[in-house]
Parts: sequence; C-alpha cells; structure tokens
Amino acid sequence: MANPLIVTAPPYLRTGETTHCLMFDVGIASLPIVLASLYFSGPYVILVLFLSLFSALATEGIIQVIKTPGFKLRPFFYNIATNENMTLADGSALVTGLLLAFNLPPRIPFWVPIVGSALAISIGKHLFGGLGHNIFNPALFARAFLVAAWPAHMTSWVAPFEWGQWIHQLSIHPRSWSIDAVSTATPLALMKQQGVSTSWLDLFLGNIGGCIGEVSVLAVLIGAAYLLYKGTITWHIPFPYLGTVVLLTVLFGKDPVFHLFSGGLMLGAFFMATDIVTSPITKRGRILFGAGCGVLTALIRLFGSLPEGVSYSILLMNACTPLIDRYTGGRSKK
Amino acid sequence: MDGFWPTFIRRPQTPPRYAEKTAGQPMTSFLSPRVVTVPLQETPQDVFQCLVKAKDEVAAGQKIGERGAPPFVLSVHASISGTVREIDTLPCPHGNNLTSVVIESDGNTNGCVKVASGRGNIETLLDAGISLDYEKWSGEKIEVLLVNATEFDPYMTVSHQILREKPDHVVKGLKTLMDSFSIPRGHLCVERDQVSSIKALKESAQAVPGVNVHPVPKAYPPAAEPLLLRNLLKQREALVPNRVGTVDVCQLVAVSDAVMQRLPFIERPITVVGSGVSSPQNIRVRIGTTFGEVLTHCGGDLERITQIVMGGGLTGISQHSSSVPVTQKTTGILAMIAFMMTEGHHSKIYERGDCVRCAKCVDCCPVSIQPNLIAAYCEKRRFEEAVQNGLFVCVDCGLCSYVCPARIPLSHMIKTAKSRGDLRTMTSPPGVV
Repeated sequence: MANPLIVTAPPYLRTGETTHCLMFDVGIASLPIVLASLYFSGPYVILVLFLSLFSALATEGIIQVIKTPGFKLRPFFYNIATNENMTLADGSALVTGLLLAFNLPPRIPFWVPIVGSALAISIGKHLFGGLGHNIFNPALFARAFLVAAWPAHMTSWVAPFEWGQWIHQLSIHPRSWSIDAVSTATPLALMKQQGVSTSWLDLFLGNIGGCIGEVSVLAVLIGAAYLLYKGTITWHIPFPYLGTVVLLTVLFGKDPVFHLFSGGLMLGAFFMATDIVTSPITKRGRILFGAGCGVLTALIRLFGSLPEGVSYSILLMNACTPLIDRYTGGRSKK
Repeated sequence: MDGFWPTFIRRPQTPPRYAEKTAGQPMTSFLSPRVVTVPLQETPQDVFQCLVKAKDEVAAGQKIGERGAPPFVLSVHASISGTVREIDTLPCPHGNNLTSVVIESDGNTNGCVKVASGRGNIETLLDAGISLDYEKWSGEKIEVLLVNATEFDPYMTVSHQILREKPDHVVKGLKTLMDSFSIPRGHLCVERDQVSSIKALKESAQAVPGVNVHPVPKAYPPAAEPLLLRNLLKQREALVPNRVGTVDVCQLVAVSDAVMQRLPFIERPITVVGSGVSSPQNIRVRIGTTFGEVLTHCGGDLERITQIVMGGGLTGISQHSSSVPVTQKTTGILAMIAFMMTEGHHSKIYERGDCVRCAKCVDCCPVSIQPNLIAAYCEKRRFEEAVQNGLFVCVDCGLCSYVCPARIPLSHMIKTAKSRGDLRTMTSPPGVV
C-alpha cells in the first residue's frame, strides 16, 4: 500500500499569487516616485516615509496583538511570530503608510505622518473590520482628517530643490514648524488664485511645489506602467478617470494637459482610486467609478473653492462603491 | 514557494495550457496491463447484467456484460484476454462504487474479438460499447451535434493529439453519428492555435456536407458547452439545450473504428502528466487499467506521489486510491508530489485570508457571475440570494479558485452549495445568462 493520497476539491493548481504579492507590487511601483521626490525635495522625504511606514506597521501590530484571543503581555513576541491571523506581513499596512506619505507636503512636521498613519490603520481600516472590509481608502481617509485638523501644515509647500530647512521640522517647538522662507504654492493654487500657469514640462518632470508623491508625473507613470503590466490594476478605473477630466476641462474651456499633469490626479488615478478593497468589483462598475471620480475632480477644480479635489472625489466615490456594485453586478453583469 | 515573493514577471490569469513535454509528442501505447477492472455500470443506478463468472477464460473484446434497458442495451467488453478473478463492487474514479469485473491477464496481447457485422449503425455502436445518449438522440429531434475538441484543463493534450493524428477518423465518426441519428448539422470546435489540425480537419470535412469546423478563440470546459454553442452560432434563444447533442473526440474515433474496422471500444488515449511522473506522455491504454499501473509505466513512484487526479488540474476529480480504473470517460491522469505541507495537509505558506475584493475571480469567470459574492452568500447560508446571483449558472471551471490571491476555496464552496438537494427547486431568474 502506497502512502495515503490527498483528496481535495478542484482546482489542484493555483497561480501562486497571494495578497501580499499584490500589496508589494504597489510598493515596488512606488520606488520611482520615492526617487523623484528625493531628487526634488531632499533627504527629509526619507524621514517622512520612514515615520509613516513605521507608524502604520506599529499600529497594525498593536491592533493585531490586541485582537489575538488570550493575549498576555509575556508571550508578546511569541504572539507576533506564531499568530495564524497575523496581518502584519500581508503588506497592506505598508501600502497604506506609503500612500499616506505620498499625500503629505515634503516639509511636514515630523509628528504628522505618525498621527496620520496611526489614524489610517486604526480608524480607517481596523474599525471597519480589517483588511478587505474598509469602505474608504485608509490613506485618503487619514489625509482628509489631517487637512481638516491641521490645514496650515498640510498646505505649506516648499519650492523644488530646496533641500535644506528641514531640521526645524524635527523640533518639538511649534514655532519652528513654519517654512515661510522657502515656501511656494502648487500650480493648481497659483492657477486658481493668481491665474498663473506653469509650463507643461515642469509639471511633467516634477519641477513644482506639491505633495511628496504627486510632483513628478513621469515617476507616477513609470510606476503605473509596472502595475498595469503586472495586472495588479486594470485600465478600467484610471483611464475613464483621466478621460473624464480631459473631457470636462476641454468642455469648460480650460487647458486639459495642465489639469492632467498638475495636482494629485495621476497619483490618485493610478495608485489611490485603484485600491482593490475600495473600488467596485465589476468591470462596468469600475468604469463608472472612474468616470464619477473624474466628474467630481473636474467640478471641484473648476468650480469649487478648493484648488484640488482628487482625494475628496475618490473618497466620495468610495462611499458609492457598494451602490455601484449592487447595480452593475449580480444578475446580468458584463 | 512559487509566487510567495513578489516577482517582476506578469502572472497570467489562466493556467498554462500545455505541458511542454506532452504537446506534439507522438502517442505511445501501453496495452499489456497485468490486471484490469472493467466497470459494468456507469452510475450505481444502472441496470446491468453480467455474462461471466469467476475463473472464466475471456478474450480481449469478448462481451462480458451488458447494461441499460431495451431497446438500447450497451455491451461491455473484456479489454484484455485472461481469467476473470472476481466480480465485485469496486471504487471507480468518478467517486462512486460500481460493480466491476476484475480480469487477470494471460500475457496474450494480440488481436481482439470483433463486433458482429451486418447490422445497422446504431446496433453496431451499441455492440461496440460506445456510451452515447441513444435514448435522447433517437427519441427527440436533435438539430446540432457539438464536438468540443478544445482542452480546457491545463496540461491535457489528448484531444489535440487525436485531432493531429486522426483527423479523418474524427470527421468520419461525426458523419456516421449524423447519418445514424439523422442530425442535419455537426459542429466541431477546435482551438484557434491548432493550425495544422484545423487545416487537416477542414480538408477532410470538405467532402462531407453538414460538418463544420470552427476555430474558437479559447477553450471551454465541458459544462460550458451551451455557452460555446451560443457564442458559436451567435444566437441566444433559437436553440434549446435539448436539441443539442454533445460528443467527445475520443468517442468519435471509437465510432469510426467500430463502423469501419468492427473494433470494440476497449482502449482509449489518455494524457499522463504532473510532477509525480518522470515521462509525461499521451498514451493509449486499455479500459480498466488501474491508475497505479499507468503511473508506474510512465515513471511514477507510487510511494512518493501524494495526489492523483482523474482529469486535469482545474476540473478533475481527486482520487483516494491508485487502484481505480481508467474508464471510457477518463481523459487523463494528473499525479502530483506535494511539498511544504504540514501533518494535516495544510500549506503553512498559503493560508486562507480575507477577500480583498481584487475582482480577479470576476474578471476571469467564463460565465460572468461574481464568484466572491456567491461564495460569501453560501458561507452565510443565504442560499436564496446565492441562487439569484447565478449559483446554478456556474460551470465548475475552477478558475476563480485558481486566481484567488487570498486562497479562498471559491469553487469548492460554490460546488458544495450546488449539491444541496433543497436548492434544486429554485431556478435562476431569467436575467441570468
């Protein structure tokens, strides 16, 4: 008699691709963005990224340990190492921390990424039930919170290639956090408030003021090409999104290329809106989702009082995702 | 550890279609097994009659039993010559126990008893033991005979090999069936990339009116044949499924052999692949050869093989023993050696996680349902909503489980829910495909 055979249900083959592969793909795709921001904004960006990632991973770990049944303090490391439901290694906290850091200005006081990532993981994700159950993109949720709570810090930008002036951001003294000496404004704010336009080349390469991840369209496009090639994201969300923005800006007589390249539109379309957890499941629903994001972004930019509307439009459409799934899915979807 | 670490290589959403080693290799033969187990029934409910008893001498091709009620009584043949050892209820690869005749070989592999000549085609087919849906095909008016010659399962190449080696036999068999049951049209679906087979088939089919060869872009699982026909004929409502007969390529060759050369259906080609066999190949074996003997012939070590599957890696049936026989419906054997497994055969690397709504299952579903949604409803025991979302539309192709990055056994959950008796009365709403 040979050894006992394994009897399982079909299929007997698997792709081998796991959830953390999808998450680490986003991490790999954001490498060019990190390098671009390092080039334009200096070494302080690394610190912001590190603090954001560390805070996200620490919050995830703490919540995981608390959620572990029968937790005692003594076998703390044993819990982390052996827990079957350990979600620290699945990479979702890493992606959230990374994307939140991309949404922060390059001269943010050191404590903002820490608070933001902790909020994103705890309230944005685990309060809704953990990975796969959150309604809103955690990074965007935290960004919205930070903008509402500390608008001055979240909207003070630094001119490109101003690598210095960052030591004050590490001080615990609130008066040293202002960056008036080298401050600038984003192209969208310049356009909205003073009617000043920026050249397309500067916008494309990233020679402008703006958040860490959104300045260089080129870097975002390189990362997006990797994600599209790997199949981690599909074209169904970003291209309708960008197409709708172009269509509406042309319709209202504005410069479509300026709106495409400025602000967080590229980052939002390829990295934020395509978040697998908070976007619709069906193909038709994803196209609707992208188009809805585009309409909201264009409306906020052209007619709202805010200069930038990508994060709010994606959050609003995230709220609509269950509705979209319901009306495009189920019976006769394609 | 495949895929555990991120790679820079794109992973396709469908499994690899061909095993490099079996595709295009000429077919080999293994016609001298030591012992065969020939099932007399096809399902445990079949009426059957055994014509031999233990210690009888039988010749290859000799009739040893018959099943079914008149007027369609199907013959069952001994597939090797030898001595009947026992007649018993034995496991069969489809997952049930059937009354089978165990024959020990006497070493003589030459020749076989031919089917009696001088009768009609249908009688010849019944005598040759080819299991077709005679009752339905003769009783109702069948309009279309569909041959799904595509190989949906990864690594299975037996249909392609038959088409490559015997295109004339396939067309001839199809023509014979169409004439015998007076079916006006026959559609033969071949994958588009089988260029040489399509060319040969089209040449053979030119002289035969009514036979159409269709290159189709992708493979369809056997259960999705209505979908295949709908895509093929570009019409939605015109053909009810009752008006369609389906037949498999291997049966067509058997039909052709039975009518032309009076040979009974006692051997068939199968694909033997997997990490457990050292020389994967397409091989002709006698009906009733045990899986263990076939695997040993192909260089498999039964001590090391941990999983044996009848059929391919996506839709096959996992076997609990290597002593089950090859039946007329076995297309192949997949033998695998698992590794990195714990005691209870659970992988420590790939554990089931939460659904992250990545929509890969929805994107790859051939019948456009939402496997993640249906599986979630089934798990919560909300079967009514599962049926409304198309539970019974599922064709059990297994692709959803294949692509799921969270390792959720979607197809298993859907299959389990489908087998519940109390759901049979619920029907899918008309909006579903």
